[in-house]
Amino acid sequence: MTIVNNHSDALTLRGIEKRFGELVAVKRLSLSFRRGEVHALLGENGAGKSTLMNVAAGFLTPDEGEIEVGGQRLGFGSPRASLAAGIGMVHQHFRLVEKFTVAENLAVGADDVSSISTPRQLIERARLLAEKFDISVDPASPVWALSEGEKQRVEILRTMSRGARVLILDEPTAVLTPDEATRLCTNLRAMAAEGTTIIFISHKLNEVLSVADRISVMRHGSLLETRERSDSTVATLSKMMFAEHETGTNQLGHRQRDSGEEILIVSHLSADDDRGVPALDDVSFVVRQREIVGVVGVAGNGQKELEQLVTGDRRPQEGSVTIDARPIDGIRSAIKAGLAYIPEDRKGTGLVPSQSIWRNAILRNYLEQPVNRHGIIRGRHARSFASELVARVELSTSDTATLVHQLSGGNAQKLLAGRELEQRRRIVVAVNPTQGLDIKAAEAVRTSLSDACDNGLAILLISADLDEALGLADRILVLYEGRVVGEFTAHDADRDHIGMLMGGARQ
Amino acid sequence: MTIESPRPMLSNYAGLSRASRLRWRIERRAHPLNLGLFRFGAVFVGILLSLAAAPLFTSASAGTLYSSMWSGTLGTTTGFENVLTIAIPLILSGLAASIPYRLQLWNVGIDGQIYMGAWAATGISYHLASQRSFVIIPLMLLAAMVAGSVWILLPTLARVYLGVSEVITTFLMNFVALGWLMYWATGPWYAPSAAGGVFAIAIPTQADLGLLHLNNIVVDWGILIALGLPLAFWAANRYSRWGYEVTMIGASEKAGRYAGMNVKRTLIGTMLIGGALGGLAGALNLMGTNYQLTPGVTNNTGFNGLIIAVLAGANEIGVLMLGIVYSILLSAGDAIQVVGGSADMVFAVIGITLIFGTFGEAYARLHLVRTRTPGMSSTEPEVGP
Amino acid sequence: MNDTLLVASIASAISSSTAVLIAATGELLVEKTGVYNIALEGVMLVGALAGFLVDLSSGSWLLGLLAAAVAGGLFALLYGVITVLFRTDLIVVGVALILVAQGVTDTLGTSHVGQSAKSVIPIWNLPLLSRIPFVGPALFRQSIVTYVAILLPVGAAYLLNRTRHGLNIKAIGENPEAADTSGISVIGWRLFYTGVGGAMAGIGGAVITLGIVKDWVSDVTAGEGWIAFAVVFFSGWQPGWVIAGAYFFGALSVLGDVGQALGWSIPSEFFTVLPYIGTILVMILRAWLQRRRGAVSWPAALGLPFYRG
Repeated sequence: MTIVNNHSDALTLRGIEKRFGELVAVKRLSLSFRRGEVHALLGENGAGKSTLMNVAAGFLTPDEGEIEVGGQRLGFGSPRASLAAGIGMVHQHFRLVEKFTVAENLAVGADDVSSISTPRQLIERARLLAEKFDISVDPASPVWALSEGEKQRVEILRTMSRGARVLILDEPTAVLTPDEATRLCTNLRAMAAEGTTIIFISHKLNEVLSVADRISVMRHGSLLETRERSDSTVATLSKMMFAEHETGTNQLGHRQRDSGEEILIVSHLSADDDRGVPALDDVSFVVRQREIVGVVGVAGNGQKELEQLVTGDRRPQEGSVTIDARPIDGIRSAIKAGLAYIPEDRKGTGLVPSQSIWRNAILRNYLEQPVNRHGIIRGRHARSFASELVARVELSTSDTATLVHQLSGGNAQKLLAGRELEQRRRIVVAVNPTQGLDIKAAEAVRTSLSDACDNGLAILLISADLDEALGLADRILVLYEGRVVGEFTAHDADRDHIGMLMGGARQ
Repeated sequence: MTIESPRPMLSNYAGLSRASRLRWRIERRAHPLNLGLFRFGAVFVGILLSLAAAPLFTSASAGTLYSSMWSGTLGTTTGFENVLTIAIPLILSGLAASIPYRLQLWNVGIDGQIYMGAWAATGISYHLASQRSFVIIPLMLLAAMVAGSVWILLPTLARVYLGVSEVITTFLMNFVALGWLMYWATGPWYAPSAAGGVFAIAIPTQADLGLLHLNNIVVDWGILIALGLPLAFWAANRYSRWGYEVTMIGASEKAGRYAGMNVKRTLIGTMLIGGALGGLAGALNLMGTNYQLTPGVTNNTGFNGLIIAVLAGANEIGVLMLGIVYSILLSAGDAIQVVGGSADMVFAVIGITLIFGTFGEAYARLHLVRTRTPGMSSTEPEVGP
Repeated sequence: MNDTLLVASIASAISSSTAVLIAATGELLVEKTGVYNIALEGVMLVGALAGFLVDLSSGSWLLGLLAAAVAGGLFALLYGVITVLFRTDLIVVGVALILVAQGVTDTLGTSHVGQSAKSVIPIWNLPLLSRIPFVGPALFRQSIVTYVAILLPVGAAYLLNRTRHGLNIKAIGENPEAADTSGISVIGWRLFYTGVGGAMAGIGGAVITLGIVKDWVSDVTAGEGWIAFAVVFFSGWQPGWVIAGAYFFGALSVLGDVGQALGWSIPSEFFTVLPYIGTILVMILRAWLQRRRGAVSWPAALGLPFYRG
């Protein structure tokens, strides 16, 4: 078989396969990227998009296949070699040295910096680079003082300044405000117009449709199709992405419920973050029985502090949190008051991956009878408690000695949610509960939240996914810079309006 | 499938394929092999190889060497008594390291805790010299445990509240303890010694540990503590609330917080237990072996305990067994000195054995991967110098 | 105190600090790449013996130092390969290699115990300066290596703060992923600097056998490696403070002897333990001052293994 080169292709991947143990993350995938296009790589979490691009940028070595740049084959497994061939990647978690200035970060590993340089020379160099690539950064500022959007610009500038002609961005808008995201997309279009190939990894349909020239859809490690934007609609793309499941989030629909008594009362809450900077400013709301309240906002606008305050993991500067009129002044008191908590970091905070299912099953009630008596953890009771839980949530295994890291993400979340959504609880705090799950598992988690709510629990859903919040919540609160800047009921919630408020527009 | 490789067009690009070269790299295994098995296996292989190599480094014949090793350890009653006696502080030091290690905390200051435990026990024995054994011995052991705990307190608080690495601070406390001991042993408690060396006045005889007679084997009853404590801690780890908290916090501190555990209190308490065990090791050595406060009350015992704890994977039963194996090695080392081996050679053997153990563990976690695309690999220009 | 004793004490404090200063500067560079060589004491011991043996057979202290650098570098590289490449535990391997170093040097050096070095590092009286009364004999009549040693941290400061390469190695210690993304070989440079640091520690060890003690005894380094290790933590990873720490600790050790000679009521052990207590307190103090700033003084990736992807 002979593959003919198309020289307008900037980057060609052929037969790439990448396995992690038994998991095949990318399956014999071939794909070409044209010079000067914005090419979106679309797919659910876990579809293999990032893995594929990490292979292209030299961060992962593929098990099979080859990479071709401008008609020439590229060696594997070295970011430097890939970068030298013109392929650069900006990761979702920025790879910058926090203690260094922007100028120093731009100079790390750069061959064109003279071997002896004063900080002033580095700053001058950074200024010139920023001008050349028309990306605004503050060269003298230390990176730890920058916003996420600014850090991203530093990353892009660094990648471009190394001569990248193919720029890969992994979920670039996840940490940005809608405004910053728009600005980024404009910049990317301009860069593409000058001949740079932009590869844009995303799972957001609307965003992809607004920025990309071509769109490739991946599912379960395989490429389904590459099509022109003009041939694509939200409907066709989502059908491909999710296959049999149609679109995910809005499908669940919103259930009608009659809410009951007030359970969680947050009143005039103000708190600082870890660095002592005010993070929440006079936040008040209530969550009633049989009610889901969704808190939405761009990451970093006080959600984390709110989560910690409600779960008793942080002291407020002012104001109070009560559950059934019992003040929350610590994690134990929150648990005693009937708080269930599904944290975002499920394998690490909510569950202990290196331990067995039964040890994880009793994590929140290990002090209660009959599991604990006189300081002795009674294994027989703990295991039977765990067996019931495993049966109730229909886990793939019934052996409670199985270690949690052997469970899939979906099964782990079932275990966690099942443990937390137990009848004796009063309120659930769930943070991005479906993040990273496949569509089926995500739906199962949403259904279990909805059911729990119908059965009398109050639910506070803190979500970065506006569509999920719109689909589940009875009321939506919009958090911006530590304040509640908007409140909507399920009926009057307007997606565009909420999006604007999330970005800081005045109501 | 053949793929035509086009001639280089962009030869100015570094990193594009040059000569065909095999490339190996080390990656984590997706599913680690049995860590304990490989660790123990490698240690065993290390010991066998050291035994095989031992004749090369001594003037004695292989026969003399091996027979002196055998009679110095398991072959004779004296040898076996020696093994048991040396095992007492080793097992306790192993526990002193392994209990904090379950929380990912390092107690590198066990030698210091041994000094302080021995010092405190000595002081108590002087003050209560007129008392009977059943009064004086428990108080000495208690004082030693308190002293060991106090000695680890500052590094512990610095670690828990300020994030200062306990590896360095616990370790540096060893030197401080040695200075403290030297001050007392050469100053207020000084006893002139004909043989040379630093010794304090001997502790009263009723402070000596009694002897156990098991058939014809005689050993002080510190051995009961050394055999009993690992079993007790093993049970506590598996069945008690404290053990559950330590297990979960050790695996994930965030999960411990999430479960409402008092993480700081657990970290501090567990470190203090480690310190107390180090102090206890010092007291038992003083009361069973040395009878005088001296820097020789520990001879790298703390370091050896740390090694035992890590090789045992912080499993208390493993500490017990490895402590005895280690003690056999040390006794064999003592025995071969008589026939011309070097005093410190046994340290080299132990060090090499230990490195074998870490390699065994590394093999269980990592594997070599070869890029499966022959003729296409880039040279890696980045390996700088 | 009479002047002669004071002059002799200052001179001796400076000379005894030299070995620590060289080893600590090397260790500082290693730690800047995110690795700490806890086997420093063992590396110095290996260097001390290698330097001594080559000096005995060649009659040249310079060849001795060279041999010490090679032996120390290789021994440290062994540590680097085991820990950096195979990602094993720094502490356990460090302790193991110290035991190996003690065992090997003791075994190989047994027959030389008590022998004196054939050629010792010469003293160089700095022209003019050494003739200044009091100050001259105290400060400027030192071994050649002492003058060079004080330049090493200055050189390290220049390397770290003014050169592209220095920026790169700091990046490795702060955020190896960032360095890797920029095409810097994390593993390669970590190994390289482990070797460089080991070579410097080896020279430090040989300075003890060829310049300070001038003969061989078992365990001749007597904890100087640990002092050097402590100095780096004391310094807050700043080369200037490495100089201050090394001389401060050297002065304390001499102060004990001086105190004894003068019959002070402070026990000499007080001065021996002061460097260690001082390091612990300085570490705590720095952490206390920085507790709110979110940035730690040590290289952020110090002691962490690096895996790509």
